[in-house]
Amino acid sequence: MRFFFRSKQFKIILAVFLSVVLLTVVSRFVGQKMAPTANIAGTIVAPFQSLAKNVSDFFKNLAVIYTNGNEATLENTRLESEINELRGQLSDYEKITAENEFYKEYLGLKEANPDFSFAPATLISVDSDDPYKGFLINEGSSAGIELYDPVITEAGVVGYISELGTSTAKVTTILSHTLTMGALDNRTSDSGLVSGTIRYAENNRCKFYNLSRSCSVAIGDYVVTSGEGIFPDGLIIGEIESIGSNEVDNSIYAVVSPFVDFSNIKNVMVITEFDGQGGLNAK
Amino acid sequence: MNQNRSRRYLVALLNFIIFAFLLLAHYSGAFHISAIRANPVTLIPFLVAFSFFNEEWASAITGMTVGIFMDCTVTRFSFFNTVVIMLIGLFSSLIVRHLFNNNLRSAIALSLISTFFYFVVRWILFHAVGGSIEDSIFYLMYYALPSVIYTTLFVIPFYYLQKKFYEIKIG
Repeated sequence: MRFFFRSKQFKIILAVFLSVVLLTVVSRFVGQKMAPTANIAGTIVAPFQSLAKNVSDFFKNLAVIYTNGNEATLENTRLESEINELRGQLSDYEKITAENEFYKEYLGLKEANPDFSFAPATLISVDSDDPYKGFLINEGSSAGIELYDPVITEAGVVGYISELGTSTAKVTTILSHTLTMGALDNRTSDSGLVSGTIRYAENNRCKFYNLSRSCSVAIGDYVVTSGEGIFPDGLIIGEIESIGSNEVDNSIYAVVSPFVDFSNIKNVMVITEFDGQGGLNAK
Repeated sequence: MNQNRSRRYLVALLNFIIFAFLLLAHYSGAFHISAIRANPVTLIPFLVAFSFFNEEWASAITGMTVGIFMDCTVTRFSFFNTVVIMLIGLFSSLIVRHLFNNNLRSAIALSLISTFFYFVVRWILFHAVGGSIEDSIFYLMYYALPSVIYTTLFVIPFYYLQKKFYEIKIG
């Protein structure tokens, strides 16, 4: 073993390793960018990840279509070949319809918030090691995206850009404990904070807490962003599912069921600009 | 001589394909092999098995490359895998060469140690610091430790696969 540590090979490995560490640490402290090595690797891997994701989605869709179409096939066997052909078309059609729906919703959001600038992006890989359901999108700084930009879908807030590469970016979701955002009850305007915990994240839930004892939040109320921090105001987060009381400080908290289905995200919009961006020490 | 070289290239290509497949499968969500909360990182046992039949420098470089590609996908601190996976590759190879015998039992033991090391470091960096204590313990007990055991199981087929590759390589 001693010979190996004295060998030329080990010295080369050590030099390469230290260079990678140095580059990463420097890039980390200069703007919390993705490590250069990971950035380059991300650019190389992104098309393959996209392909793998499409293949995976194709098989998922096929399984759904097959299950749904199987009964019809049994009922009418002479239409079997036609059904098979239609299944293929349906798979494409569903994809296009979903995309159209997404853009239609996005258009509505854009009309309601003319100050918003968007960058559309597609999810290319899911961080399966992240219990908070973080993921990677296929756009980065080259599309005008910046660190801490909010990420949404037509259903509501998804999260924010936590690491930025040239052609990819990492999204931390609102289920994560690392994200705390100002929020309001849309009906009563009671304000509090929204953040995640690992147990809530398992069930796609987050916590609306720091509510005063005198608040009048109710089950079924919508929770929206308050505009403090990195998110613009008025973005829908989710619906209050249950209400509880904190044993330590007696404050009220509510469990929020976000409208975004974090297990089924395909396309997202990154809000690259909005009025009041960066206000109140956003980061 | 030429035949030897072509065999070596074939094995290198096969290893590359398997590493790429495991990486894409793990991060694209194409194959869900997670059981309840245990989510295996199959790249670790494959790297450990790889290091049993390859030299230290090759294992270290492979580990670092795999780590870099993992880091471009994970959503937190894109540096952790590069370091930890490289260390796993390097030390697995060194331990096999100087301390352990090259057999399945050693592969299982080393895979268990490596995976445990990986998940514990990840827990310390991402969960023990920052979040609540309750969340941190919950992650360790219900996510990390079951994942360690589940991941280790994959070393059995991978060990035999790498053994076969080695036989092909040496002819």
